[in-house]
Amino acid sequence: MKEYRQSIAKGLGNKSGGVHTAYLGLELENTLDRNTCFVAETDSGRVMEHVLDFSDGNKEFFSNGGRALGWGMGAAFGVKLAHPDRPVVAVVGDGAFNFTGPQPLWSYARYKAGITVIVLNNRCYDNERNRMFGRNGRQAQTGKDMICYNGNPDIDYVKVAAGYGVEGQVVKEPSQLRAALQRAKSAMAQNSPYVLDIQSTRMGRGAQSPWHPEFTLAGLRGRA
Amino acid sequence: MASAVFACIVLGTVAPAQERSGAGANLPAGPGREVLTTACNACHNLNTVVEYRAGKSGWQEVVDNMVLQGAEVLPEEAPVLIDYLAANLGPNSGSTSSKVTLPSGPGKEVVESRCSVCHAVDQAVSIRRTPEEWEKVINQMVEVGLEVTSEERRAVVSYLNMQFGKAAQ
Repeated sequence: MKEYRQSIAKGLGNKSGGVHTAYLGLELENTLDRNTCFVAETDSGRVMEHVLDFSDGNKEFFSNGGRALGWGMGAAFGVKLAHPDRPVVAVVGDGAFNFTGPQPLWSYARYKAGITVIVLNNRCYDNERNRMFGRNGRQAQTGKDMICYNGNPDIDYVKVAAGYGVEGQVVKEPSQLRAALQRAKSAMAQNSPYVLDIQSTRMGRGAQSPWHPEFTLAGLRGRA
Repeated sequence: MASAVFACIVLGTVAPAQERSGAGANLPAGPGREVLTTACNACHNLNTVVEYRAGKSGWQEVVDNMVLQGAEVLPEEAPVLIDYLAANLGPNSGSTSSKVTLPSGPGKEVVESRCSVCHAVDQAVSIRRTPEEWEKVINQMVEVGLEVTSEERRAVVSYLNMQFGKAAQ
């Protein structure tokens, strides 16, 4: 089954308009060191581990199943403390990143922790929308996702990281991924943290729509 | 398989056995039904599946994503499953009753007939969109299986822009 999943993932590398998480998993497998430790805090992004190869026993994968949001980046620092000689990559959803807050990045910079943070930036709580739409209530019938779209404004995680002393880059298309991972690998080898803001695809019902309610506090004002 | 089931338990998405069996009991017989009621039922009930409509390309995308998330659908089973889903849960295979009455205008009948093959028109017209956004929506519908002639497409886009248009910001 792994080969089948990897073949599906490979095909997703030819699609533009964002990076599919499965294709990211394939590129991680093909680019990073075999003894990399992955700390994953994703929900809809949980396709990655199904294309990674753990058969040689060198790679490690840490995850809490999404039950304690905001856990991942701090946990990655702990994994690096335990395995200072191994590359550590934290893969977090953009929702999870915002539950953590950016302050672990300061620790990475201060203590020269060679950790790469991959933010799966699809600008939404993707699986929450799928769970709600799956009940086929009025949101699904109208295609109006009332709470899960997190764009507008679109968060720039590289700018956030720079404020904490961490370099990084944005990845918008699959074709940019390998070079970006090579830069991250090089940064980790030099004991530098690195952030990859990977603009990933949304999946499932309602995935294509950026609609959100137009409520604003400015609209509540009664006087200038 | 074990990891997929474990993942569903951790995420609280495993449905009770009696709930899982409900939607599956009404599915028509045919090659692919057994794959649907075993591999797909392992992580979630079939209610979400039977509520969705798409053509072959749309169901291919769904099955690919499910396999990537851990569904144990073998490579030789996938085409059979996709053909079954497209045949029994494709366009025009179920009621799409609407709570919305469309305004009159050129193209209304085409919108009612083409947009309702998979879902109620509520989903099509509840959000105002710019011309570029409406073009994108129609492209997405074609990608998941909408079959529409060039003339029908022009009529649909024209009606949607006229009745549910929004100026670009």
